[in-house]
Amino acid sequence: MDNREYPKVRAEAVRQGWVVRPTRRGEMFLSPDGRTATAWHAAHRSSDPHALDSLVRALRRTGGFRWPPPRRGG
Amino acid sequence: MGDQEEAFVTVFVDTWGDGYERYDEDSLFDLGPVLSELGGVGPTVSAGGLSGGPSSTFSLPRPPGLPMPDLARSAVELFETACAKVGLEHNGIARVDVLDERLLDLELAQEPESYAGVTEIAKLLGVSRQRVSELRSRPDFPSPIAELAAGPVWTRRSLNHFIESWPRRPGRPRKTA
Repeated sequence: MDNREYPKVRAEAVRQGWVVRPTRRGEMFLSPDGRTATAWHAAHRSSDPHALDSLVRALRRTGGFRWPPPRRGG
Repeated sequence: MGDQEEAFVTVFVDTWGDGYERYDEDSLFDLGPVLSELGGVGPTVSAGGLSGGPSSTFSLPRPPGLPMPDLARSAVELFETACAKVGLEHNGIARVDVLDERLLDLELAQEPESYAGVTEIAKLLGVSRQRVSELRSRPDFPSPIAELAAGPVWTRRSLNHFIESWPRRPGRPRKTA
């Protein structure tokens, strides 16, 4: 997944109940159950083509993030 | 760029710990770049969860013929070295998963789970809501995953078999006096 998709992933995470908190080094994703924090390093944005895939996998695994986003009314 | 596409595995490493609040945020942010320096591809670092300690999701190139257990060993060594470098402590490895990235790509491409209530099931079966309530007493009707104040909820997937196999009969159901 292209790192330029990050804003879409971030917006969907917020919609699914994650709290995304800006930090000095990037952004911290706090899971909806409040038990897990996942760091998104700002430097990843352009440098590593696997970074966004890893973020999505980590969010799925640690907090049940649903991606691709679920359809409404489905 | 080579002619052949490089194969990767994705690694998940979880450790035991006392919850993410215990960990210094800077150390968590430091761990990602160090994992990259050591050969981890696209590392994401988390902390907390069920096991409570720092964890990471990253990819590794998969040299042809290298068995998965060897990759798991390398992944743990890499993770432990990176944790030591940034001074991130944990109480032991709780879990290591190594997955072929093709499997993860299939997972990501999967249709996300969807849900249905009585109204949606009535539409799917082409019957009334009341008829759905009657059908619920059949032994082959799946159990809902939750009973909310608004009514029962099923995963759409759990209904597939019933929808395909339900022997629909036209007309009203016979009264059972």
